[in-house]
Amino acid sequence: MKESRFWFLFLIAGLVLFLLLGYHIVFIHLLGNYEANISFQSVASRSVSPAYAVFYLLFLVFALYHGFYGLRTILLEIEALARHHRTVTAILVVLGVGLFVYGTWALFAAMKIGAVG
Amino acid sequence: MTGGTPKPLVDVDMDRVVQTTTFRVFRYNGTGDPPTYKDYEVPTKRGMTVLDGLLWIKENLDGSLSYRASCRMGVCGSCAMMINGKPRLACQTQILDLQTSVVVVEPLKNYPVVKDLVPALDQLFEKHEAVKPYVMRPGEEDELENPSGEFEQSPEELDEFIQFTYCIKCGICLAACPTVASDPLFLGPQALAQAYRYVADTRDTAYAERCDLVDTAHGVWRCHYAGACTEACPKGVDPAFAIQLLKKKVFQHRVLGKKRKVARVAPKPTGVSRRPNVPEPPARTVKSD
Repeated sequence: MKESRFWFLFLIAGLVLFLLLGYHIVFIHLLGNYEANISFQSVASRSVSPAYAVFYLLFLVFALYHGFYGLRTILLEIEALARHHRTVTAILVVLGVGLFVYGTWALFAAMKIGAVG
Repeated sequence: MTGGTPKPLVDVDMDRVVQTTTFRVFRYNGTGDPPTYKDYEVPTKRGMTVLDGLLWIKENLDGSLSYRASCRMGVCGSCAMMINGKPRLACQTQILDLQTSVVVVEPLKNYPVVKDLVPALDQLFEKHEAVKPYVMRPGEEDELENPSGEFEQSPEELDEFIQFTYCIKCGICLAACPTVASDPLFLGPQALAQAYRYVADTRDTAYAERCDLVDTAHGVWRCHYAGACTEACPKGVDPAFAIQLLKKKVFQHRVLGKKRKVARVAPKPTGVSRRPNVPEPPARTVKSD
């Protein structure tokens, strides 16, 4: 894939993160009772909701892509790594996919705990 | 009507020495020995440029000092160097404008040094060459070799890129660029601005090919718009702006699939004849292979 498409996805991911984070900040931090919103019962009840599962999954995907693309940009501007951009990209893809799998597993684990709790 | 020599508007003695300036010059003998700085005292007159100072040093104090210079009027770009920490043309920088009695002169940053103030500009020209800085018409090479007419291009279309044709290849923008400082493969402001110059030129039809050349991991997307190139450019080319316009063009081409207008060869005028006092064009001086 051409660099312009990676870069475009990076912008899209940034925009989506802005919306998701905005939603999170407004509904968890600004509206209602913050202490109650972050209590175990409240978090557990949210984690079983399919809508919240989709929310967290999207957040995970876009945050990982945005973060790792930014990290790749920084790494490729280091003189010692500049000539190894394929290797750097491959390592970051593996790390990103690994973290996505781990995050997804954590999400489903939280759903199970929430269902029990 | 009165005769005689007109009196100058401002009565200034240009030959009077107004200060003695210390030139602290980077010296490197090109053999791998550590570089040193050497001080030279230069009697400074009004209007003297840093290049004048270096010429005076070479003529009067130290003939071994090496630097590049040619036109002495900001056209050739040869005398680009770091002057008091900023990349500038020595021929366009007046000593008194620096408002200091010590002028530190060093070779351009981000280039290997050949000797003293002479940088090796290979990367500048290699990167420039990499973006194919010439009009290409794939499939119409014969029209370029043996033109049958003019390409139709409106003044508005010319305005889109004319500013970027003023680049004199002095290399100052690469010396100013923070990304070039850390990423040696980054194409850099000079090459990218020239890529835009041809991408925006409707006479050129290799739009897709040139977009491919800059749409890479070390291409147009690595510019973070620090703007140092534009601030340093002695010709007002504004490479940082050109790079942002190039990003837009590449995005339109790659992501949106937008086509760009192509200039066609204007048809020969009909119903007119050459005026008798207009001579025929001279014969070609360049033979095609």
